[in-house]
Amino acid sequence: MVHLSDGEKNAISTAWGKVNAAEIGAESLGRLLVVYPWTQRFFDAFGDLSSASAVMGNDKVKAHGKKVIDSFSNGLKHLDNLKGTFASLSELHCDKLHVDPENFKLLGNMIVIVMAHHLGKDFTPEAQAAFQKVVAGVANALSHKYH
Amino acid sequence: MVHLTAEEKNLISSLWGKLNVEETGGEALGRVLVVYPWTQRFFDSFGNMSSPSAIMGNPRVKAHGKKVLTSFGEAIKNLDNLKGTFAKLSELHCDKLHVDPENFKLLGNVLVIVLSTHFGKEFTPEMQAAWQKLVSGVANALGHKYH
Repeated sequence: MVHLSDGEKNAISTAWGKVNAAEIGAESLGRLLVVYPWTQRFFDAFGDLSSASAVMGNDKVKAHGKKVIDSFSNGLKHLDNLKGTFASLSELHCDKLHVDPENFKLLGNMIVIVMAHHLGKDFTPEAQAAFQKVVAGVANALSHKYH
Repeated sequence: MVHLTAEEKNLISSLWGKLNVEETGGEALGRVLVVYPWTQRFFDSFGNMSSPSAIMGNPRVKAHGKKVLTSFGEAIKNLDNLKGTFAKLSELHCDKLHVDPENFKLLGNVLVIVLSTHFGKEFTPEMQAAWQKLVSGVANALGHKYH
């Protein structure tokens, strides 16, 4: 469970309120596929991923990034019960998708970097610390049902 | 050894040329101390680190951050021999400073985040990928002499 102070919860809502979630999602997933190219193996059906610009411009990447971030946004509304919130998704990623849970940490890291990119100075050290706690909590929750 | 393409080396040098080592170094070290508070244990003599603003404003944190990032600058001039470049610093961090090498990865990660907040359009996915390779190469080189 992720323990956030009131100050941290505020920092998170403030930062999240300033960004376009769909954009954050698309960019985070895109950058994941560029920076860690082996992750492309999970997205064979996505078409052209042959260069950074192909990846970032790919419609299926953008759509899937939005889907992932919608789920993340939902997590932000249930910070006191991340394991419960992500239980079904955890089972799916283990049993059907066979995704190494290490990748959840990599994606979480991308989300933080993209937030930093979009918010610049507004991505204060406190906001960064709070977000890093959240992405670690979400990564844990997504791994929780692995067996 | 870190294998960077000619293009990646160019990207790295071009961003390096634009950044303020003192500011960036101070910010990166400050954020490490905020986001990963246990790292403060290495800097007992630095004075007031009781809050994020105290840390970020602390002149010793800024000075040390500048020292650390200046050393990073050496890496950029010696991308083909990171292990050699950091051999002495590696021994120092192991034998005298007793720093867990995991912390080098944390600092590298925070540096990428700080670059992301400072550089908007220029911090493209390709730029990010090159820098992530570099920080991981530096972290490895700093861990290399540990025993």
